[in-house]
Amino acid sequence: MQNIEINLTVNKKHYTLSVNPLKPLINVIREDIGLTGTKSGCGKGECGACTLLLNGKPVTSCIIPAAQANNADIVTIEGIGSEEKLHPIQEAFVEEGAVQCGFCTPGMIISSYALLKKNSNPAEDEIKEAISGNLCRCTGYTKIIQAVKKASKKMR
Amino acid sequence: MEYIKVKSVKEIGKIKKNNPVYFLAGSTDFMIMYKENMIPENSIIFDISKLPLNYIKMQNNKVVIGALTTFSEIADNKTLKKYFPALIEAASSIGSPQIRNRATIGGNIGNGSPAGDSIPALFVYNAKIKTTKKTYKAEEFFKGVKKTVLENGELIKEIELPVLKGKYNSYFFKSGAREALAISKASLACLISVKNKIITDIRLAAGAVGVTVVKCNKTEEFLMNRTIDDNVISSAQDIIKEDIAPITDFRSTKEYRENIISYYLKQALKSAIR
Amino acid sequence: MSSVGVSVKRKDAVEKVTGKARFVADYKLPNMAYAYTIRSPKPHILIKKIDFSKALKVKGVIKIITAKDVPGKNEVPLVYKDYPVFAEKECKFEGQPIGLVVAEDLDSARKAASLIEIDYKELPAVFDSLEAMKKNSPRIYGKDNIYKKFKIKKGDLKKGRAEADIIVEDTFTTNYQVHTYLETNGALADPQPDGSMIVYGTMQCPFYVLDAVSYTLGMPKSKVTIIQTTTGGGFGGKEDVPSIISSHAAIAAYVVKRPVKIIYSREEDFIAMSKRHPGWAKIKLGAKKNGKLTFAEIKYVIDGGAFATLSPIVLWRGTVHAAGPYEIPNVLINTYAVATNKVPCGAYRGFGQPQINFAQESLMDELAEKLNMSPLKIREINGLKKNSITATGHKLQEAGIKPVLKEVINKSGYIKKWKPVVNKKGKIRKGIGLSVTYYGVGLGAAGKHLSRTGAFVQVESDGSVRIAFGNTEMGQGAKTVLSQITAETLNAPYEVIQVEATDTSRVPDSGPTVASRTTFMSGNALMNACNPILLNLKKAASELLGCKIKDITAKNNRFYFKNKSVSYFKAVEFAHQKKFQMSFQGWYVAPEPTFDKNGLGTAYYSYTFSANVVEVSVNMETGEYKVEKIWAAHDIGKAINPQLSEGQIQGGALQGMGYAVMENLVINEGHMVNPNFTGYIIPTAKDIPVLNPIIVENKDKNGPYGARGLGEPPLIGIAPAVANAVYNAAGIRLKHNPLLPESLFNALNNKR
Repeated sequence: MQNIEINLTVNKKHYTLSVNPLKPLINVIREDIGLTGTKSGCGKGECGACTLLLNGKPVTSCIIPAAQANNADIVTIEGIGSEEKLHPIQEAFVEEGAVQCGFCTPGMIISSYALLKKNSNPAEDEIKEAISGNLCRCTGYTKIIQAVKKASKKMR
Repeated sequence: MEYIKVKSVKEIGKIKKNNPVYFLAGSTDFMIMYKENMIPENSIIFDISKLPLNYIKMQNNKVVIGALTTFSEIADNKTLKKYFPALIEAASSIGSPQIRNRATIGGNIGNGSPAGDSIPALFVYNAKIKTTKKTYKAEEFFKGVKKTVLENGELIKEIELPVLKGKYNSYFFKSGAREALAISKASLACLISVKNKIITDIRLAAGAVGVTVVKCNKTEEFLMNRTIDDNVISSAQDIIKEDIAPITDFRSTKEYRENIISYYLKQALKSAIR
Repeated sequence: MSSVGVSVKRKDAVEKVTGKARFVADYKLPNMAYAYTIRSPKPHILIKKIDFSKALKVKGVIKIITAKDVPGKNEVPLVYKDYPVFAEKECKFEGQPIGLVVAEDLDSARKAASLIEIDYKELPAVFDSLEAMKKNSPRIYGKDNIYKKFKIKKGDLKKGRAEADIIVEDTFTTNYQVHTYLETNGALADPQPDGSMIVYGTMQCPFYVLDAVSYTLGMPKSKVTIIQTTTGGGFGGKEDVPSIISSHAAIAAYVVKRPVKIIYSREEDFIAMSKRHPGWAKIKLGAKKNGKLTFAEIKYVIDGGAFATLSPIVLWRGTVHAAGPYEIPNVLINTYAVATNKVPCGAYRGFGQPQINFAQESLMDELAEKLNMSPLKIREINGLKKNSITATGHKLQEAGIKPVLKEVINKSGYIKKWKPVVNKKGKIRKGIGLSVTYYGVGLGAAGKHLSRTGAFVQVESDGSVRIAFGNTEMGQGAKTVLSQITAETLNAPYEVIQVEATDTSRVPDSGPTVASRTTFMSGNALMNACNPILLNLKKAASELLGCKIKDITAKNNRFYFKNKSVSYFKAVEFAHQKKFQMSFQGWYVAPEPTFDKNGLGTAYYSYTFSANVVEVSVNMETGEYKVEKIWAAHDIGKAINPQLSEGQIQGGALQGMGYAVMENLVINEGHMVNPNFTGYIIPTAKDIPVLNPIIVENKDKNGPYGARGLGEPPLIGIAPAVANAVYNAAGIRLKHNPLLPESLFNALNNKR
């Protein structure tokens, strides 16, 4: 298959790339752009570790073909905050003990971020729904849910 | 393999080759097949994601849904919630938020899995599926596991749902191994109209209990015009087990699936007369 | 105390929430190649020949590696040495590694691998552990397919049987459990200019990997360095298998003279990586009318799969704990680890206990019912307490089950909520279930030769502190807790502690990060390194404050003499100026437990006791049920970081719930049917019950600041508590785990 040219914005930076149109978006982000914060857990859209925002919506980037990221606005975990200035969601995750091994964390934060943009005061059920596509094997989810609640308070 | 991004439906018709054609929409099913090497080397992949097929609108007593409408958009739509709540229920139960943001109703139908959660609701709402070739009744669309009436290169464009007159209750039940990211073990969509506890209209479609979604004709025939009482419910529960053909596989057993479908039927009937 | 007992923020939290933490797949080295593993297509085959010609023609392929390319020995040293690095002729499980395709990129490697043609003959195979123990079954291991067996014989079984007024007996089985750590296994080997080899990888036991890589490369250990990368979950699943993958990567790197990265796909990880052993147990318990147990007779079999890996020691722990945390004067326990033609099983949180404790805690409830006693009462009567004698004849130093039982019963409202099942009515019924377990911390008598740990502490002149230890962080919070212990011991602020990556060149062989031993072992080793430094800090302070060393009090990051004080930083600066030694190695050897030929001895140096209460609601018409609430109490001596301890309890409890309710790996005739997240179901956020962690603190006399292990106990007692709750609701005793709604429906249907 011939490569195609795609133009995309990732964390407010523009990129023009020549890629196989069916290359999974996560590989474009991790390899072509070099942002390794987005993780691959299963390659089939079943675990949520690869979640990023595509035009504002959380999606599993491992099953998105590069071609469909053309002209897209993408936000990855690197675009949410940094060590110098953590986003309130990141702060809350740290404070509430919502991080253990850290592998699900970027995807989990992206899904939480998307929720709080839409709903600034979500109920517990709404939080669970928003992160229902992000598997975590370490925490039992309880402290993650607490962290999202705390973040929503911080952000209001 | 060839990749072609199309800007209009006409562009698909222009290609006349004997190569297997795949349509790339939300890509949630396609990318998994592609990664598992199930897409033949001589395939043509039409990327249809930019076609103007993403809409939900009211059109002369029908609600039409463009094939590229995602399940997130369907789940949030007020018009659909008003007239077709079982479809909303089904759409909300598919995959996860991330999957729903990408997966399209056209893709769910085109994939033709008997566990496709949107399909039972389409059956009970008398949906029509409009393709580049013709318009089909939803009930006539599915032939087997991942087999539909679609010809190579035939594209689903729109789903049409007639707005029902009068009062009716519709339900969608799904049994999965967990509360999210669950492939159905068994599902049931019901549309029931009652007047003085007498059933005036009944449509039942069961998912994941046959090689296609099953329209429960025997059960419908039995229940039509009957007064709902405990005996009728009990009999209907037995009859629906004859309509469906569940199997035992690693997800569940035949007996469990039969039982849960009959249980859902009971719940629906009891709720309809409350 | 200023650090210990405080829920300080994790050392590694910020890098993880920003996506900066680097896992092995994130590493990129110059000239790096990728390898993809060639695997056995069937459960038991004899390879006749392999045709690599088509594969070698694929663009980007560098080399294909097989057994003949192994520079050292073609055996991975685990407990036995029966697992070849690459199969030569015989493959014993579907997915067993035969070789590697090394290529410029992963896609080319995969493509080439798919073009390899293996000509083979299928051999007779056995897929069930009880079948494998029969005389006429195909031989997979040795002459009887038994990797290991143990026996515990205490007291006089005949006497115990005679004294019993009630005897109950039942058989229980448990299926596999898959770790499903979110980060799959992987390794990156980097050959050095001087001929030495560095291997980076996701792993729990760098020293096991060091053993394996030096052995399979035929290289001295001093020329091999293993560095653990940020590890995305382990739970035991990265205890043994990293030795295999790291050896593969190192051999490939050695042969092609370039860095080689291997990252397993999720499916590959399911198919070939370690699992929890399926278990079978037949248990008989006898008690007097007053509820006092008189004997336990247990036969326990675990299905080890095609190679021994850790089965012998998994079996040992299961054996020691098989009778549960009870005073039982007469005990006969026979256990077996058996070979079958399926994926080799290894360590998983609980390590041989969850299976047998599921059986034994279920049977305790059956016994209670026959005695007309509540499940609580029978446990109160028989539970181990201080000075009780355990099943192995060990006189207990810990407080036993009482403190945890009391807490969990109070907090859950068990006494008010529990009603015998005969009183249950309705279509949706509620039930409450109880279980108690205990867990020997550390490697125990079977692992005592490994029971030593090294650490290194270096205090810089500006007061910042570097620490290195031999155990690993895998999410449980080791870096944080060990920093807290270090800070507390040095009287330094927590913030100044900097943890190095676990690196085998930094500290001596410290054993594995398993058995909930890390806080205990590395904590003590760090304290041993800190103590002489603290002495020198006190010496510095005493000179600054004009007093004797013994007059100095260290607290709150200051050193006090009467009403004068100096800061920790001042003391450090002065100590450096005076050329006092401010860096030390620490070494800790655990008290040695024992285990004789009758299975008797002080099997472990410390035990963590736990009690769980589970509430369920059951739909009597469909068999569906929901775990609504879990209370879990664990006596951990001292919670170094209460928030992290809660996280362990919640995470472990949910894993235990997944094991009990929904996780069902299906292997048919040696072929794995659902090697993916679509088919093997773990809990999502929408599936969680209310998880109530309860920390109980009765100090351990050997543990750092009184702490004892917590990593594994939270998972162990959940499945039997769920089974007991389901029985309490529905009157159905489910004896096969997972307790699927299909099984419950089937049983309810048959009862009607």
